[in-house]
Order: sequence, then structure tokens, then C-alpha cells
Amino acid sequence: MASRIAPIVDAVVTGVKTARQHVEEALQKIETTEEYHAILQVSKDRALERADAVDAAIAKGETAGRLAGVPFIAKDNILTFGTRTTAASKMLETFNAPYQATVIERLEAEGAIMVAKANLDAFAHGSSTENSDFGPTKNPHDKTRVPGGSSGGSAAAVALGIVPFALGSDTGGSIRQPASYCGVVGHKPTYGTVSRYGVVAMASSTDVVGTLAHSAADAQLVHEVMGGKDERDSTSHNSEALDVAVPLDGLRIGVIRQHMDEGVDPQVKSLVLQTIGKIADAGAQIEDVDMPELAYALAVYYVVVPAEISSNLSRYDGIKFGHHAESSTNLSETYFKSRSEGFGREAKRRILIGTYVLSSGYYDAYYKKAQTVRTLIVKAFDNAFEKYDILVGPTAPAPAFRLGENTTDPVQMYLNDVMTVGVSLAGLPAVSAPIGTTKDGLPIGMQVIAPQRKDAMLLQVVEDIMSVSEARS
Amino acid sequence: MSQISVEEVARLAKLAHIELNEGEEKLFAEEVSAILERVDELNNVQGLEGVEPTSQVSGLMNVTRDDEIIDYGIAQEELLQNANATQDGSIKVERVL
Repeated sequence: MASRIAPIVDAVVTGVKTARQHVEEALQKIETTEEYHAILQVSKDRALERADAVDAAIAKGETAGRLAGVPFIAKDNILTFGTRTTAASKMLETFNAPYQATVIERLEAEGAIMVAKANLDAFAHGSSTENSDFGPTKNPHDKTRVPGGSSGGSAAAVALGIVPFALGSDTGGSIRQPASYCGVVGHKPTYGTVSRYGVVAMASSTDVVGTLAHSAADAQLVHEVMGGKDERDSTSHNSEALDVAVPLDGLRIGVIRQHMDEGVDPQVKSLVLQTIGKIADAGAQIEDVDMPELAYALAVYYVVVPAEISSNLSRYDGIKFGHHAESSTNLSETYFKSRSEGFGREAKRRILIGTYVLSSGYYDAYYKKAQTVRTLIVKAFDNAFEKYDILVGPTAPAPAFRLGENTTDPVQMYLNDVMTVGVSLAGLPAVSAPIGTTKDGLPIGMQVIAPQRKDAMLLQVVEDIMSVSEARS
Repeated sequence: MSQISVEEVARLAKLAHIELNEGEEKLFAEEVSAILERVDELNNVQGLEGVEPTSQVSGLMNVTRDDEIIDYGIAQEELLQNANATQDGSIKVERVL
């Protein structure tokens, strides 16, 4: 797919169209697409100021950045100046970031301009954005359906053409699943390859910041600019550069059998098989790969992640920052009332599960067991990557569901993540690539997975897959 | 083993510093039970003898830096701006007892 970033940088650098004009266009599109509720807040004044600074620097003949004048949107769990940072929660409704996330700093240093903050499920807990305390986002392809989640606002903003790229975060599928539902590229980088300094923590052993864009090349450019070791995040490290292009011809591809089984929508399955056929025509060697351990990925995820959530959310005490209950008269009441008022139903449920699986008497039976099964999942991927360069399958079992369809049954909602959580538990890089639409025009994504740190190889392969599958995005 | 009672939910909520009303306790007892039931399939996993648990996957170990003060360029007032109450450059809390 053609890059949407390169033409903007070209136009800005050559003076054909200014950064200010690009930002104004993005701001205008935010207004005309308001009904989708992809955006929580607009950073108009600061964005225009920054655009003028980019234009002035170019007029003076100074070196333009790699993203000069490119407007973008950040998920609202990423700390930014010029807006509040709410994580779409009442808890942080009035929170003003005292510093900016490293990812924002790095993108801005290369001339990119943050224009708005995108909607999400509160604290990134969810698969539909219906858990946003400020109302759900609607799917750009069908307003009666969800955009996916938790980065649903970011995916919708890119699909609506407001900006060429948006930042999301992915803990168990929160970039990939909305990318699949909205028909855009979603890159969940290798765990640790993008700094989380200034990102609202959900589950620290799988949280990662990544990109929603129209092309894999654009996602790669953004990853190069914002990724890599950051002294302010001790869990960060570099991903591998790609020295030599990897052609589809001769590429060894494993199709994960457990992700093509019953339970997968027939239209999803058939589009994935069609795309695999085209990749095979291009010379790739395709084989089924049996990974029975993945059957347990969801169960492991729904122990490990709530455990980490309950721990990370304990920082919200109504005192240092976040919602403070006015009615409290002593410290203990401040904790109880502030947390009860500030957290929504999903956060509370996950805190309760996490507290349970970490509590004395249950720790070994749940948490330790889940961490042990996690080892088997990691090993299953390690073994598969001894035989295959990449692994593929659908991103989600079905196309976007209707608003309200799954809100009463958390287990049903969690099943949306069945194909993405295993990858998160193993810390692998993966991309959801748009490969076509159903008869009703709903987008379908294919998940492409690579070994750790091979993000550049992965994104190049995805670019090739998208060109052979001729998918529109 | 995973059916979780209303009383158990009330105990967990207290541990997690969350206040629940009766309706919420009942709802969460049902929802958490349903999720734990699904999680119980982990009891069927074979071959766990001698397998070590995984708590992180990047392989980084003991990441340290020089023990020097780093200036993050953030003023005290900026850090305190989100606190509910402050006094003399400190965060003020309600009485403990």
C-alpha cells in the first residue's frame, strides 16, 4: 500500500503545502467526523504553533525531520502536553501530564505534530471502546458496529483519514484487533522495543506502544523514530535493523492450525486462505503448524493480566493524582471512595480477579500455574520459529460486532482476543494487515507474527503480502 | 474450585480498597466465577513438571545505570498540580484516624 506519510513530508519540505495546511486539514476532518467519536480532545493551538515552527525552520533552510509536518493522533493513555490525559477514565478526567511520553518527544523531534487524543476503553481494558467512560467510538465502515479496542479511537481515526498514523497500545491485542475491525495496518512491536515512559500502565509484562497506519512502510518509519532504548524506561531495548530485504519467494510460513479451527467465521477463514494462496503463488513455502499450547493462551492471559492490572491500578489512591472523592473524611475513606467512584465496572472486575489470583492460598493455583503455562506458550513459538520465518492466521475470529452485542457477557467479549493474547504473552512482534472485506463490507485482518526484535523484517514482509493480496485499506 | 461467593467478593473488594454495593457484589460474584471457570482449564495442562514460570520475556536482566541525579526538567509545582490538596510544597491528606 502506498505510504501516506512520504507525500506529506515531501510536500512540506519542498514548500508545496505547509505543515500548517496539513494540520488544519486534519483538524477540519476531526470536525466533520465527530459522529464517530474517535477523538476525546483536540490540541488545536499547540498543533498549529508547532506546525508554524516546522514551516519556519524549513523556510530558513534548516534540516527537516523525517516526519516533518506529519499530523498524528495519540491514544489517550499516552502523556501529552496541550491536552489532558484521561485514559478514557473518570479517574483521570482532569489529569494534566507534568511531562510528555518519550514516544511523543521522539516523534515531535522529527517534526511530527500531535493534533488530538483518541478514545479507548478506560485504562485500555476492553476490545470495543464500549468501556470508555466518555462513550464508545463507532466503526468507520458501519456505524452500528464497534471499531474494536482498546485502541479503537486510534484505528478509527486512521480509517477515517484524519491522520496518516496514530499511536495505540497493545497488551493482548489492543492494536491488532481494532486494526482488523477498521481495515488498517496495526503494528504491535516486540515487547520492550518502544519506551513506555509516560504511558499509563496496564499490564507491565505485555504492554507495548505501537502504530496504526495505512501501510506497513509507514508503521516501520514511525517505529524507527519512536522505538529503541530509552534511559527512562529500564525495560526498553532495540529491535533489529533489516540489512537485506526478505523476499516472499522462499519465505517459510507457518499457518497456525489452532487459529483456523472451528469458531472462526467462514468469511474470515476464506479471506485468510485466499491471501495465503496468493503468498504461495509468490513463491513462499506454506505449511500448517500445530500449536496446541495456544489453546491455553486466553486462560493464562486472564490470570496474568488482571494480576498485573490490580497491582498497577493500586497507585490510584485519590491523593497524588486522579479522582478524589469529596465526601471522604479520613484517609481510608479517601482510598475506598475515590477508587469506587473513579474506576468503572471493567477495571473493578479485573482488580477483583487480580486480587484473587494473587491472594494467599490461590497464588500457586492460579498465578504461578499461569506463569508456568506461559513458559510452554513461549516455547511453542520458539519451536515454530525454528522451522518458519513467520507465522500467520486471522487477527480475530470474526469481523466487527455490533455495539452492545457483547457488553453483558465478559467471557464472550474476552474471546475476541483469543488469537492475539498468545503473541503478547511471548512478547513477539505482530501486525494485523487488512486483506479484504466481507460481503457486508466489513474489513478483515490477517495476523502476521515474527520472532522477537524482527520488527523490520516483519513489516517488510507485510508490505509484500499486502501488495500481492491487493488489499485496499 | 472456582465458584466465588458474594462474601468472597466483599473480602476481595476490601483488600483492593474498593467499595461495592450489594448489587455489585452479586454481579461480580457471577462474572468473576464465569471467568475463573474458563481459567480452570489450566488444570488440564500436562507436562508442567520442572517447567519454570515466566514473568518477563525480553531476557533483560539487572538493568542498571550510574547512580547520578538526572534532571528531568519538571518543576515541583508541575508535579503537584494534579494532587487534590497541597501545602508548602507537600501533598496534604485527610486525617488518618
